[in-house]
Amino acid sequence: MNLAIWTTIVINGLCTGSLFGLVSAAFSFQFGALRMMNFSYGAFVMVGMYIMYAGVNHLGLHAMAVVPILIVLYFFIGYLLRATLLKSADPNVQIIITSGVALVLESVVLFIVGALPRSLLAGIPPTWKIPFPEGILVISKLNLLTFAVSSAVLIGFSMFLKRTWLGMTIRAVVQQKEAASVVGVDAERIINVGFGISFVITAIASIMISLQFVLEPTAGHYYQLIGFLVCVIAGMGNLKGGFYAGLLVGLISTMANIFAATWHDAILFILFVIILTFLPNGVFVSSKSISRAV
Amino acid sequence: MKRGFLRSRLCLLFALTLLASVCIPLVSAKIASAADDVIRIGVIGPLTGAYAFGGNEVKNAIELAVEKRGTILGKKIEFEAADATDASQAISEFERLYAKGYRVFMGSYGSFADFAVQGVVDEYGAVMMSAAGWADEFTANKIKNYFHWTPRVAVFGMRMGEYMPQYAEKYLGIKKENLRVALIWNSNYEYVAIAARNGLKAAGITPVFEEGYPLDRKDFTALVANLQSNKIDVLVPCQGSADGVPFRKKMVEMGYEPPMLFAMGLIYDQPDFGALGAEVVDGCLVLSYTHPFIKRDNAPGLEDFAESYKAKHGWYPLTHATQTYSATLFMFDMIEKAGAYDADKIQEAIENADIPKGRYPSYWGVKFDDYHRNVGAGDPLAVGQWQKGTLVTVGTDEIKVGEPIIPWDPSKL
Amino acid sequence: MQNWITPKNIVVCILITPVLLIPFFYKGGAALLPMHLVIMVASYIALAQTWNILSGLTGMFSLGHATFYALGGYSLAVAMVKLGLNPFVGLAAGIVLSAFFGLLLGAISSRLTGFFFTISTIALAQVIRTVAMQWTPVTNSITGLKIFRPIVSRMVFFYVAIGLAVAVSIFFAYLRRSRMGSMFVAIRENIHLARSLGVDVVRYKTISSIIAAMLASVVGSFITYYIQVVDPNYLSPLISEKIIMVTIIGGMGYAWGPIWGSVLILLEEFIRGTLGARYAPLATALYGVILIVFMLFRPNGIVSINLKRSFGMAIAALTPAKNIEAAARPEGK
Repeated sequence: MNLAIWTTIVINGLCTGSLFGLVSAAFSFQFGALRMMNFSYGAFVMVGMYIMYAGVNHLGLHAMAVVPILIVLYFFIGYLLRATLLKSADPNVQIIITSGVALVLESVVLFIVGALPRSLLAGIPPTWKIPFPEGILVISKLNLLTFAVSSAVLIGFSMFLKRTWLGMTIRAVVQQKEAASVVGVDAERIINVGFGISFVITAIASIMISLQFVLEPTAGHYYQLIGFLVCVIAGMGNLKGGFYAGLLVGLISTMANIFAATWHDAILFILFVIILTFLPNGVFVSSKSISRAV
Repeated sequence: MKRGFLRSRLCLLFALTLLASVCIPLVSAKIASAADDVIRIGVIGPLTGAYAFGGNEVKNAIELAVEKRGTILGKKIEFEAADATDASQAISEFERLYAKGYRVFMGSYGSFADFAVQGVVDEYGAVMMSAAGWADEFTANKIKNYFHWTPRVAVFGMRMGEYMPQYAEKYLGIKKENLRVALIWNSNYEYVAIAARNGLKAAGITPVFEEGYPLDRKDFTALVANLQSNKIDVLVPCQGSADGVPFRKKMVEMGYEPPMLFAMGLIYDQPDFGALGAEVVDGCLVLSYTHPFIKRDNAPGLEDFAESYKAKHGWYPLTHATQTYSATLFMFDMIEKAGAYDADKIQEAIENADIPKGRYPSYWGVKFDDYHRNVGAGDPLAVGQWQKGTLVTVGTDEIKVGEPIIPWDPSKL
Repeated sequence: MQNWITPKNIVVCILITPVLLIPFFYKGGAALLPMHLVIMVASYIALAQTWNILSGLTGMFSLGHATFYALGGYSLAVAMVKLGLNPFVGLAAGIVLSAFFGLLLGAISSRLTGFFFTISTIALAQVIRTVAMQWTPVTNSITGLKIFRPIVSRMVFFYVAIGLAVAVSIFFAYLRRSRMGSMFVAIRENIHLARSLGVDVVRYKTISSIIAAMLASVVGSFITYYIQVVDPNYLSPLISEKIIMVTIIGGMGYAWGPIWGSVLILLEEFIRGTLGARYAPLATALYGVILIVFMLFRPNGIVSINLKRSFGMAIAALTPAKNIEAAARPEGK
């Protein structure tokens, strides 16, 4: 394989990885910062994809019109979810409740939609073909869009947390809940808002996924596992690290695809167990983790 | 306090046991005699879950056959489709239908339900015929009451080895000794790839490139790049919709088109694939069971079936539906020949059946060997090519309606 | 053991007797379906009890328990189909294999606790699932393995299943009251305190995993022999989730928990039988809803429901407040 093909592969791997990073960012925030074990994360990604599909194919709306609806809807879903179901702090209880929510979501979607896989977009995805030494570099525009959106969202979210009043309040509540209450912050509501925002990121992730991949009711499992994997590698709550870890996982995934295709899943998970065992704080340990002080 | 607590627990216990002993008989029906005024046909398979699409195709086909036929031996036909998403559900559904008097079952899509039911038909005395599954294991052991209509995957692979080199030689001018073949599959379909490999080997061809990958792989850049650099003449994919669709899109995106793409059925002859649009699908060749796009003149009832199905469901029936429809009509004929709704007599009638080609919508003949495999099946298989977004049958000569364009060139349409 | 002969347990035995006589209640083939249902419920009880040992008693919350169940099934099938051996050899092989993975899980648990342990159980399940799907010469990938066995009367399976459920439940109750059981509970309640009191935490966690794994494997082998099919469906997350749902709704950590919970399995069959196949996913959704409701209001499960208190509270909630006030005021005012 020549240089052009290798470069194409690497670039595409990075773009897929950026998607992984986006997917796990919300999960990482929920777990690391908000201390919520959310096992229904993948299910919500899947539901978001189906909402896009329903909006575009059944209501006839333009994709860009569905996007804001989805984002606002997900904010409220996230807020309500935390406010009603996830009040308990016991992690096992959270795991069980969110597993129940995931089960309900999947079953209901299966009942309504049926298991037939569907695609949101038909036709050839648009690409850029750039001449390169030894061949042509083929870069999918959708992939680049994914990379751009993921980076923008993650940078935007970091900025939000650092610079805006609401972001700083969220961080305050995460770090010192009682102290924040003492100075007059309604801790519960702020955490609810934080959860809602993490769901907005989930919505964006599901939009990007629906543009490129096939929709199935069981699609959520894969993204749930990716969320776990990337979070653990990055270290919980570490957003910037999460992005890099996502890229790393994307690259490892691509390399595994080239050299040891059938064992791809096993490789990722054995890697995962090894990292969990020996580097439980993650590979990209950063002093800028959100759950630590500024 | 303690006694009250105990008493309330006892009450709850009693209530729950009562609930259990009420639910159990409610769920099971009273045993119905098989000698009723009704002919009962049942199918047990996935109507929900991962295989729901195939399972529903099978159910729709049988439903249509029942509608068309109406009565056998003067008795009305009653049909029930039971949902089973795993083997133990299949057994419970079988029990339920058996208790209602069902003695004739058609097989469904995905192997687990058929395997489970196959294991009990001899014990209970019910006849079963599979038309949508192709695993070799179905007929690996002799089962008295079980019959298999469609060709095994091994036979499918043999046909790939027979037909594909003919096209390569005729249209690409490459003899099979020099043919560079790539075989790719997802982990679920490894057994299909094995059958393809064996079929190619029987024709004297060894693939120069092979790759199996996990089903949930999302990014195919590396694979397409690998194929590109290996200068392949023929690509043989064994792919389902979750991977086949993104793979094909990636091929088109990267501008990779091998001289010939010859698929082992699966996604490549389904409407999901066609829905991707002519730009993406045109040119792909696919080996399939007989389906509504073969020449309809020689297959009685095929036109009627295809159009009725489309009118009712909105798309043309696929191979599984076509095969199941034909197998069901055959089953009706056998019940007629047996003269009674009696499992043993029906089994005998099927065993002695010897029907030439061209009698059923699937076109194939029917004759079962010692292992109850239909030796008339798979003779011939259909070769289709997507042209202008629709599937055109281009082989074999008995059933074709058009000519292939290989290598693909839209200007030659 | 003497304190097991309580009035409650005697009443239970009396009430269970009709279930034991099911094969004789129905004429002809009509008993087959009820027997099948009881077999499935009983095997769920047994399987859930094994999870109860691992997660309810020792607190090692595992979301991949179906792995051991499937290992038992596959070992039996591979031994019988691919190696042509006696089914008992397969059973033994399954037990050994599961014990090994139980040991592995114990080793993992020495480094990881809580949430991370749970994720590693999911990871282990995923690895085993990949092996089952990819190692085609042995496991036959997606198609699975089909066993051919002599025709055995369903009654035999019926009584064996009930026997298994009873045996594993009694074992659980015994374990809970034993010294080892109290070590497990100590680990569950406060692992640091236990360690500081000299409990060899790693050793007991490993023992717990191994026991749970071996018993689950036995259940898996039994079911596979009964149904005659094993395939990657046995490894699906849905089975693991059903096991934990059944135990949690019934009451995690109590011997009666899985028994109460498994009655829910009948609910699913009931829905399927009456409403038809299309509504089957709704049964699963219903499970999820019941699970959520229980976790919010009765996290200790059905065993913790005190009917008298619940009724009392319901009545109090429905009675308008002023009546109570009026009733509490002294007479005459």
